Amino acid sequence: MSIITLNGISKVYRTKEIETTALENVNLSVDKGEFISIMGPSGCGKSTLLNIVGLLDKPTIGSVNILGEDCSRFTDNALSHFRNANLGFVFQSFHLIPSLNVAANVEMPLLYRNGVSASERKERVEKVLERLEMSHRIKHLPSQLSGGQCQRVAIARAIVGQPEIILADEPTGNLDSKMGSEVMELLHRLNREDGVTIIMVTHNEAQARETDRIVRFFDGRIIS
Amino acid sequence: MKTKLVQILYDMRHQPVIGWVTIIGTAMAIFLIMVVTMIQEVAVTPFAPESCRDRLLVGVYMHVAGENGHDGSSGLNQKTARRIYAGLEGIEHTSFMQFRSEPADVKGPTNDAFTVQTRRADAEFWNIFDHELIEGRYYTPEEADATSKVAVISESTARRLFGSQNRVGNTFMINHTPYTVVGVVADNSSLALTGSGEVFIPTGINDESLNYDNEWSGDVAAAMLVKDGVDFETIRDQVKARYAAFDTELSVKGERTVYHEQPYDQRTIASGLHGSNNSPDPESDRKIRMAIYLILLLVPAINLSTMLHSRMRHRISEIGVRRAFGCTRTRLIADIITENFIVTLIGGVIGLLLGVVFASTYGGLYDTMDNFGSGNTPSLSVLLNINTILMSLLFCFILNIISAAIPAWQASRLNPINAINARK
Amino acid sequence: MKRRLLYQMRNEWRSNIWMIIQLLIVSVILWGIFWLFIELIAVKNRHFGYDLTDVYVADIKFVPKTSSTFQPYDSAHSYYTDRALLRGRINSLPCVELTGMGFNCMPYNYNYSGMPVEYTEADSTYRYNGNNRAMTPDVVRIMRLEGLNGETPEELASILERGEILLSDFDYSFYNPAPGPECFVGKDVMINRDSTYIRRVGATVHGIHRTDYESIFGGVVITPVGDNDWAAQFIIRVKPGMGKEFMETINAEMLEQGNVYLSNLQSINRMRDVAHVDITNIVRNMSACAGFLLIVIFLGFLGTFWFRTQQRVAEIAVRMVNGATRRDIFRRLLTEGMILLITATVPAIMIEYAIIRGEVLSWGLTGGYTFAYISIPVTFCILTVMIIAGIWMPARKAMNINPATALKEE
Repeated sequence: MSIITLNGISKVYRTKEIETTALENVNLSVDKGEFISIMGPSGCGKSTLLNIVGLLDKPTIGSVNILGEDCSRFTDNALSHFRNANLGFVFQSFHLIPSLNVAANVEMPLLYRNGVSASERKERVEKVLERLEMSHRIKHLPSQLSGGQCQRVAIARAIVGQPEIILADEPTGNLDSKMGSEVMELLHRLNREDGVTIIMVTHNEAQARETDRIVRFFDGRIIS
Repeated sequence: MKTKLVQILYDMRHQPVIGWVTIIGTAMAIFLIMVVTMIQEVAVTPFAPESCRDRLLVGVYMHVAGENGHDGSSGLNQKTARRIYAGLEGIEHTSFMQFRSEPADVKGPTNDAFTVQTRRADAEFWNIFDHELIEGRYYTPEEADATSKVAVISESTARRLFGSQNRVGNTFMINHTPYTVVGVVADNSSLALTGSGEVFIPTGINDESLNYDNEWSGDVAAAMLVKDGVDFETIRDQVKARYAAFDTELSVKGERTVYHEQPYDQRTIASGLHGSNNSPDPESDRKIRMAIYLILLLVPAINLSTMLHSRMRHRISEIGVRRAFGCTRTRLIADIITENFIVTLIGGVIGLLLGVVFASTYGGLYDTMDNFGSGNTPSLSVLLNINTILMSLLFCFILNIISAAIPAWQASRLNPINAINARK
Repeated sequence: MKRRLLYQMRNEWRSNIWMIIQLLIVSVILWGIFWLFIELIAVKNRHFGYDLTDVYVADIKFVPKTSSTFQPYDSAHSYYTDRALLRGRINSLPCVELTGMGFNCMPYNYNYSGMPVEYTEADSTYRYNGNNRAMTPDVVRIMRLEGLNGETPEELASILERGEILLSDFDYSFYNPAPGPECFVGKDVMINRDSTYIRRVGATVHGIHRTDYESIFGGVVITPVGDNDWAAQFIIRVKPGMGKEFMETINAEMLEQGNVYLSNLQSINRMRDVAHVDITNIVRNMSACAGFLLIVIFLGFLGTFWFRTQQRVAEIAVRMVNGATRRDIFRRLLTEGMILLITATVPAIMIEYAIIRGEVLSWGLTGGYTFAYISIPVTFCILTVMIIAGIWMPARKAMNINPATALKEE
């Protein structure tokens, strides 16, 4: 059963001088519980694809269907609510909020969801941090954490709202290999235990081979 | 809320210059605004001995113009003051009195002469202005009508004249004329321009000394305590009718009155009476105050807006991440405005406190009778009442909205992808 | 370099436009305030033609005949004999130089008793209408009043002693084309439209003003007061610098004689302060306003340029690596600030010019708008100072950037 369906997606960036085609007629279907990696050289359009799947960007042509909903027609508000309920993001450079401690960072997505009480938020944050073995760092600021720990917190933030889909943009790109493999292990565990669908952009061939499927991009097209 | 405070503290630590510029700018704006507001409050808020301010009307002047170019104006004489203002309907008490106190030399049995503020008023005066009688009694209507040489004096004047003993019944000199003390009242605030005084002496219809002439001119004003719920305009309508009656009499000499919207309420008196031959203009006073508020809000708001914009520039990627995790545009705007409101409030509280300290220590801010012995600064309850607190809150809110609106809107319009990937 | 700076400023157009708007508003308001201040200074420093140092004033009061304390007079005595005794006693005090009497004779009181003066010659009537000030000749000496043609106080006093009157100059800008006081000198004029009240005009003098800032000054008619005329004010000049001693020696008994007493004795300086209370308040409020606006500008430049230098650390480092001296860096930031100020000043001057031409604002202390024009460069200079002060700290920070570490962090 397909959880994400991209139909005939093209993305063209226009400026006064030039027109750049980032994606050209991309069709992609991802099944529920699948862990796929997207590979390809820099500027091939894989980040653009991730942004479109993440509903942060709109395709020039084509339709995006996630969890059975045609997302191309959503208003900005609806998109926000949809992202909040169903999508989790993990970034290469973590993008934790430097002023907030670990708990507050993880709690953030729940703040944008209606009807989650403060006590429930606290409970869920503690639970997810315990699961990711970060409970002992709950009061720390991001600047007091190592890179690997930061990415764990970022992953905790991505899953605290229990989304169906996690979008990870080179999650190990800023980490050394040991920390990187720890993070990969964690993603695999989430995929296995919770059945979360994961789409990951990566440059690491070895990491990609461990996932269910590799989608290769070149010049805005899927080549395999 | 807590995370917003955390964020503010973090910003203060990491962007101290921008943080301090914001807080000092806000504090200063609110400080000046509140000083302006408090000057106005002191002039209109009821406090003893003018607790009646909300119900007080004062007929102060008479202006008569003639066809021959003759034009005269001043206070009223005893007769005319009564003819225009006595026995109006809807009035609880009417006092015929001096509108402004005047300096006089007083001398006790032992000491040298010194100058005090004296006010001549009839006995009704004590029913309108709430002085606190400490000793003795007020003078009676009979004493007032007879212009008896008795006086009610303030506590500190009594102490200076006689010490602490044998004050009531004792005699002292006012401008070399002996007067007997019948009562001692508590020291009262010279900020109450119409009701205060250090020495009160009776005046009545027979007191010629307040008449400038026998036609209409003198130094008598009429203070009226309006009954609860009576519209001031109904009083003014009656006064207008009395003016019209007076006009028929004057027309024989080819003269007529000029009305000038009398009697005046406290708000009008506070805005300044521009002499006996001009209409007061509380509206233009209000407009000037509004213009001052506008400048005091608008000019610093530009700074605050720029500073907030800078703070947001440092947090662009955070904004992107929040948007990615489902924060709507409205929510983002609301969050930024709320967070900024907290900063504005911090500055606002500092400004308000500075304003209260300044306004309660620097008496030079207010109109007072010259060189008054006691209580030249207003009490804290006049300055820091629910009115001023709400006003400062309101001004903080306006300052916040005009300074945060544009940066918040800009932040909400950011493309999340560009924002996430933006360098600091 | 200049062109590149402008290009860079264009990239920050949004915050630059706000700063220009702010500077524009502030400079127009400051211009108005400084205009008033300059005008006040100019008015205060003009030549008054009288001198009031060491002068004291008291009210002359009489115990009324109805009072129980009134001491009855015999035929040889009166209020005036009491008054003469009192005056003689004060005159004899060692620190007193001279005394005089009058009514409405001193500056700093708001009396508007107008006195029309006129004469007819060859069917034309010449009119002069001034504020009546009456004084004994000694008051002229006390005030050291000067004549418009250089007459000494002594000469003017002797004119009053002859029973003649004096007329002052006035603001021609307000009373054109009324005849000036000089037309009346030597003429026998009718006073108060009373054909029995004829006096000769002896000389022209400097006007005695109601305040030092009196805006519309319409002239003064000085009439003599004799020893047996009513007078309300008692004027004392003490010997130079002996004011404090005088006030300490004087006591209530010295100020009383029979049914006459002096009340409310005070230095003319105090009367001046009271008369200037309104203007002092206006100056205080406007100074507070100007100070506030200047601080706002200072804070604005401080904050904005602090942020900008932070944003430009790398750029500044690259400049330094390529040979820019620290002074260049400072100059560049300062130029940026000055460009903003000049850009704001151009429309500000246009608005100010429109205000002057449209006669929207006038402080009314002097005729003409000279001081309004002087205020333009004054405002510009003061704003420049504030901008330099505001940029100082960020610029210091920029100058102290270490290129090596700055670039490494990038």
